[in-house]
This record gives sequence, structure tokens and C-alpha cells, in this order.
Amino acid sequence: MILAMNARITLPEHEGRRQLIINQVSAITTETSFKQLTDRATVTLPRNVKFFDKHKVRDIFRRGAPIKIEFGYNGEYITEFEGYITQASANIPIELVCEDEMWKLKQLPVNVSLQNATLESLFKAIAPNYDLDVLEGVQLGNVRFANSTVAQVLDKLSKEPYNLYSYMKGKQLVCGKYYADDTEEETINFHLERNAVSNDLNYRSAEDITLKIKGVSVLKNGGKIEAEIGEAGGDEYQLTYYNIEAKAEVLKLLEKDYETKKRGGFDGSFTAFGTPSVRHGLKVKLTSDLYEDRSGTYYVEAVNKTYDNAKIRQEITLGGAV
Amino acid sequence: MKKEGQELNEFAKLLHKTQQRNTKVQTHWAEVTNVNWDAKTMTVKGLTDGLEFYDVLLGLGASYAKPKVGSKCLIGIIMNNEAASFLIHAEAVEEYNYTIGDNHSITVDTEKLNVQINNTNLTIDSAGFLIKKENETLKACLNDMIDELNKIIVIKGRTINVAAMNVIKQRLNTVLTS
Repeated sequence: MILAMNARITLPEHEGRRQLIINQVSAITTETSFKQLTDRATVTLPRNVKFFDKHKVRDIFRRGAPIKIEFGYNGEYITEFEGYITQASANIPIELVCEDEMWKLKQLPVNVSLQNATLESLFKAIAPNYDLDVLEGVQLGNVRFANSTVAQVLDKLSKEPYNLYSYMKGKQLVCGKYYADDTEEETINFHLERNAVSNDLNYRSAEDITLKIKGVSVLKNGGKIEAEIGEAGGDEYQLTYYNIEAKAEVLKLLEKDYETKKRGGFDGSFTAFGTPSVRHGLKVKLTSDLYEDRSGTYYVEAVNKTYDNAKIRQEITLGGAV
Repeated sequence: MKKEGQELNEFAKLLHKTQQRNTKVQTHWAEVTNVNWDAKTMTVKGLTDGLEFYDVLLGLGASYAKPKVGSKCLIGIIMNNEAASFLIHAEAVEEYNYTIGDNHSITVDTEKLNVQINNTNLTIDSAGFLIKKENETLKACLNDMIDELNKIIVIKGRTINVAAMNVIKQRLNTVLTS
């Protein structure tokens, strides 16, 4: 079967510049992951395009201009990235560096202080104009973010003790939902020996992971509430929270973390062709004739795609088993 | 020409300055906007960023200060978390409360000073002094004593001047309260 590659870069009308569609591309890379705050893409344009000689690169590719990247095989264009140009090189070949909607959020100032905040109330306060999909019932206690940006707040939430990752799903801001999104969508099948180019997967079984997580909530009067989850004899973690007064709430946060860490799955990634197109959050069903123990259904944690040198490749990092 | 090692010293100084710049501020100037004396916490507004600090601790049990709403204060940050803070000092306070051991306390507010040592109590306010041990007050004792002295009839010599004693009793009652 012959597969012909095709790509299309669409730059919608922006600040007086008319819509521009580029069908000739030297290379494209995209990096997307639910653990990564910002999805990124780079586009390298060919050297010999007369249109670019006639116009100033900075006028065409202005910082902040929206961009849509599509590519696929045999005339099929799959939207692989939507975002904004953050950098356009003045050199030849022209290279465009792009970031998703998070780029806008990075610039959105935050000056907020909330008493007994939940994840939902915090997001409503920091990103009121965004469509939100936030994990319900997460108590954060008092929060205060002075002279900050939305991205800095999200970055802080992604670190301990909360480990609540945020990412953009189109124009929707998602937080704390690791794999929950897209699970209604169809599972994508991959045969490791037939339609995977290579793999560097190391299996870890849920039973092999011995884990104990201790949660300590430091109360405002100096008291503390402790909760524990897991089994002794393996890795031990301690997460420190502030002002969460109910032990059940601390346990709920620990359970969320435990479930993520305890889940069996693969470390590493495998590389596939450009089709079927995969994005993080989807489920992938792996089949292997050589290593039957690797067969199973897993969540996709990250996908890095490359379009260059007459090939499209997807480096797919798997998360936990479904 | 710089001496050997001088560049290194300057580099170390610059590094130290950079580190200091990156250290998170652990104290803030703020203005008191609300005091919850029952919960022994207050809400203040940061003077530099205009943002509230909620549930600022007014003490930990041994001593509490009730700052005046509208006064400036200095607060400290607990465990590098801006959402947890405590009062260091305030420009104006309405009440101080100290507890020593289980049964000793001193309270001063805008109206009175109260010292409690076990079941002995001293209260000073604009009405006078209240000195009390269990159910007995100094005022009641002295009043009773004067009343008893007034009953004394002297057979040989001068009888007690009841009118003068009552004046003394009245004077005492302007100093002592019950």
C-alpha cells in the first residue's frame, strides 16, 4: 500500500493579514501530554517559496497569530494541533514555534485569594471566561496567588501535594482529570509487530508496585490530621496539605494519587506510523504475537509526532492499564 | 588588574544577591479588615498587592492580640504557604490575652485589666478595683467590717464616729468595686 503524505498549515485572518494556507512543509513536530502544561509544535517551512521572499517574515507570522496544523496520508487532513505562533525565526528555513491555548493563559494575570477554596472555585476565579472541566470535590483550603499568572497557578497545582495536572483540550481547560476525558471515544488498535515501527516498552504490573502514601494536613492552629493509604515494604511518599480539616478529604486526595501511582502499565513508549492518529487521553489496545503479556488496553499519556523526511511518526507514551 | 581570587569573591557575592532576590517573601505589611475574636483569627489586606490573607492567626493559645480594624500590621507566612499566616505585630490593638499554665491569665482591653491567679482575681477598670477570691470581694469584706465597727458601743472613752466611718465606707466604695 502506498501512502502519500500531505500537510496543511492554516493561518486564519489576523491583524489585517488575510488567511494564509500553506501546503508545502519541510517538517512538523508536535508534543502533547496531559502532564505537560503546554502542548507545543514546530513547523519548518521550505526554503524555496517565492511568497516568503516578497514579504517580511515578521509581518506574515506575527507572534500570537492563530495557527492550525493538519497532516495525514492520501489527501486526508487530520487536525493535529491548534494554537498560536509564539516565535518565528528570521533565518532560512523559516521555523515557526507554536503553543496551544495555554499560551494565552500564560499571559492572563491572576491576583486571587480564596477562603476554603475548592478546585472548581479556584478555576472559576482564575479563568472565568474559559470553558472548564475540573475534577469535582477537591478541597484546597485557603489559597493565595498574588501577582501571578494562570499558568503559574496551574504549574503549582501540578506539583506536590496536589499533583493535579492541567491541559487544554481545544479551548477547554481541563484539570485533575488524568484519563477521564475521551474515554467514550473508540479504542485504537495497535499490533506491535505489524503497525508499530519500534518499541521501548517496559511492563510494570500493578501487583509489583508496593506503595504507601502518607498524607498530613497541617491545620491553621498548628494541629495536624494524618491519613495513610497503601501497604508497607515498598516506596513511601508523604504529601503535605494545608487546612484540610476532614480526614476523609485527605484520604480522598491520597486515593487519587495512589490510584495513579499504583496502576500497572508501561514505562517507555512505542513508535507508530501516522495513522491511526492518536492523542493523549485516548485508549490504545495493544496486541503482540511475540510478547503476549504486553497485550492489553492502556491510556495514552503523551504523543510526540514528527512529519519529515517522507515519513510521519507518532511516539506514543502509554499510561496505566484501563 | 584584580587580585587572584577577587573575581571569585565577587561572583560569590553576586550569587548570594541573586539567591536573596529569589527567596520568597516571608513577611507582609497588611491592613486589618476583619477580626473574628471567637475563632482568634483575622482577615487582612496586603499593602503591596491589595489581596486578602484569610484566617491569619492571632495567637496560638498562650497569647492573643486583637488588632484594631483598619490598623496596619505585620504578618508572617507559615511553611512557605501564603494561605497560612500569623500576626507578628499590629499598629493598634483592642485586647491582649495571656494565659500562663492552666489557671493563670491576664487580659487587657480598652476598658479593663484582668488578672486571674487560680481562683483569685484582680480587675481594674474606670470604676475602680475589684479584688476577689472565690466568692469573696475585698469591697464586701471592708464594708462588712465598717458596718460591724459602727455597731461598737464604747462604755468608757469615745464611741465610734459612725458618720465618719460611713464617709470612709463611701470613699472605699468609690475605689473598690464588686
